[in-house]
Amino acid sequence: MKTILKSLFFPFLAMLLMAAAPPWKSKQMEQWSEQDAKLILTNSPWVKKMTPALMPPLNEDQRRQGGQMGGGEGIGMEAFTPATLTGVGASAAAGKRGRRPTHIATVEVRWESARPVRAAEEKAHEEDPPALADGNYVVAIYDVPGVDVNQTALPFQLKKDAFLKVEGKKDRRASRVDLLPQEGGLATIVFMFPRSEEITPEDQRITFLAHLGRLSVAQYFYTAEMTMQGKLEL
Amino acid sequence: MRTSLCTKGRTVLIAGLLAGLASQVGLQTAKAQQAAASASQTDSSDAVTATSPMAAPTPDAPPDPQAAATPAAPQATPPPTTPPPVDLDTPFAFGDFTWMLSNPRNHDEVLDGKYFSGEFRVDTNYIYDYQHPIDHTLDETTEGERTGEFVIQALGVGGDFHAGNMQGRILTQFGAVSTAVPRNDASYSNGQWDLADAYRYLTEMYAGYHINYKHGLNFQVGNFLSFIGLFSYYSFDNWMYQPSYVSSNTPWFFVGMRAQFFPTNKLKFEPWLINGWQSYAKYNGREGVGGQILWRPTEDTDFVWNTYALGRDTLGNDNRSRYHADWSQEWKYYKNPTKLLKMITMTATEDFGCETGGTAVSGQAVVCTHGGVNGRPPAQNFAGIMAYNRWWIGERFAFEVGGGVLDNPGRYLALLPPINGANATSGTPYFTENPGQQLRAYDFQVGFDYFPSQWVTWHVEFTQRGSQQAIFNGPGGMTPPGGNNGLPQYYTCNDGTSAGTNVLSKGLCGGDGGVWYPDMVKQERRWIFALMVKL
Repeated sequence: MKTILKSLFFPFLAMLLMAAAPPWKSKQMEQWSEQDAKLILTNSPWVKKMTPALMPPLNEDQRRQGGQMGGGEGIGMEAFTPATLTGVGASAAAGKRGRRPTHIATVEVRWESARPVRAAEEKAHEEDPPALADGNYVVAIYDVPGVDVNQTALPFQLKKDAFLKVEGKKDRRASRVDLLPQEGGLATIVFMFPRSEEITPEDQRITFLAHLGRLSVAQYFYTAEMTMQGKLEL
Repeated sequence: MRTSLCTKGRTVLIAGLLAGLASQVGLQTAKAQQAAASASQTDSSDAVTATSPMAAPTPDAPPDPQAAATPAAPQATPPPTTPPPVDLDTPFAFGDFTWMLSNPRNHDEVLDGKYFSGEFRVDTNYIYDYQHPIDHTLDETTEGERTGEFVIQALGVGGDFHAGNMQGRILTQFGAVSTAVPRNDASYSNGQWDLADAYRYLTEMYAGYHINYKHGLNFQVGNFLSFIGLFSYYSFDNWMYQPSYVSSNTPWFFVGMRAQFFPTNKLKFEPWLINGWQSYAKYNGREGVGGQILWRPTEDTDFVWNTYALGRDTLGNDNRSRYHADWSQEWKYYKNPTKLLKMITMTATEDFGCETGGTAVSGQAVVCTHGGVNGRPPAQNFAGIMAYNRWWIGERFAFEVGGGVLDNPGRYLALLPPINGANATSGTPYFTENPGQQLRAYDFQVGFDYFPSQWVTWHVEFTQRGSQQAIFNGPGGMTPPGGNNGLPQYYTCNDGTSAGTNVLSKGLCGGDGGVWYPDMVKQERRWIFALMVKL
């Protein structure tokens, strides 16, 4: 009896593990369902949702240094508390710099050049995925607010402040940036980084950094997770 | 039981005190960090942590292999407000430069409105001078005039007017600076109408027009601040209260016109056409020209190049021209918003200048270099450097060190000691500023700041200055017996009366107790306590 139970238990356990494992680990690409594809495009080692850091407001001196005046919003009487002068008291936090968080929308950072992502985009019938360029790692930020995609100078400026960082290797600066419109006034910003020096599984962590004006996007990716059938997919 | 309760009470008290201290220095407890983490709305745990909006995200989040495979739990985040534009158009808006020396560190404005952005500044100090001058006078600086007493150093009220493309700015300067700064400018003495009196209570006053060309083009006319020597005229904006000579002895303001052109959002060109070197009026027959190039390639670096040329800034000498170059670099070389030590920042400034020309007959001719060689007139030039470093500790504290040196043969940038009430127009026979005379000096400061809020700074500073020439006020002071006699350009006798001459001769003041001398020393050590407010 024990032997029968044992013989049933291990296959059952294996099946359970298979079911819990994400599709990019448990299935071949051809076997992915549309639901699998959507999972990959929303929550996988190649796709991260994050909230960009928003820089604190410019004070009037900074605006004046930039040749402009006004445009800010005074906080008025809120500043006039004993805590402002002493730092002691319940309302002391009111005086902390940049204490007013501005809530901004979540964006999606997608490692676009990875094969699983391209396959998932096709399977999920996504329209007009960003174009890839041979010899480049491609990372895209989706759902970016406030971008005029017709600004011709903007990609040139954005690429100067976008990097892929790998510990022990030279920072990789973006060589090209594309702007793609999305519905609802949002935009997709596509960054291309030369594969001049290949990223390998030994490079445990990749940091993607981009400054979009006063928005700052910084996201980690882990090579140990970005594998399919044991092969690093970037 | 009683003992254990007491012990427990003490423990609670100590824990409370430590917690309070920790909160003051910006330390976060695990709970606070948890709360901050949930407030940061980071949906993926391997997004790079950004605990403070003041700093760009820093790659320090621990790896979490489960994060990718596990869907993030829905969080109760506030609804997004209007999305901020990706602003790569506004100059210098791509970064947060409030860490810089000469920039105020506040992020929030108190008095900002649609057409007027109000500004209110107060700067008060108490200076303890180890020399204990009997007349409480401090000299060779514009950032402190009295010692051993409370001083309202500066009080400014005003702000920026802005309507459409029109711009205007006005800021008053009441307090000690309204005397200490205008007295270093002798230009008003050329001709009539006392501009020093007319302008002394206004530190900035200009109007301008903004044109939307490239990243901005402004034309402004009036009295505007000079950033030659890096430090801001307003102590609140600086890391140290006592700037080094390179800053203190170079202009705080210019009167004239300037353009500001921003070809990119990281670069500014600013040419000037001005009356002269920190002068309300024009000393002689020619204006000065100059300009500033400001470049901030990243949020962590700043380069500024200031140049001044052609101005003829010596009272009564229409042929002597002044030239000056001022370069500054600022660098944020360490940042980690999650640590107690949040930033380390530094600055370096290098200044070079000279004067050339003048009438040889009267002995007032000078040359920039190689003075005295083959019968050339004396060299009259200026070389100075200064450097500062600040450690930003938590949200509320900072510690800084710095200092500098100067070499100024001809003393043309020395701040004339106010002996017997002397100023730049009167001069004084006790400290002359003539071609060939030397001035070499050094200074260093150690400072500590407490920032109870973004609009207030409590500052303590030790400063030491030294000079090869006796230029600082000693215990006996620089005020004649009985007070100033109204004739600072002459020697004074020991009974307080004027000798009526600036030529020292045997027997001078023979009937008046001999010639009186100010008590000037070569070294000065001070403690500065200051409270500065900027709203």
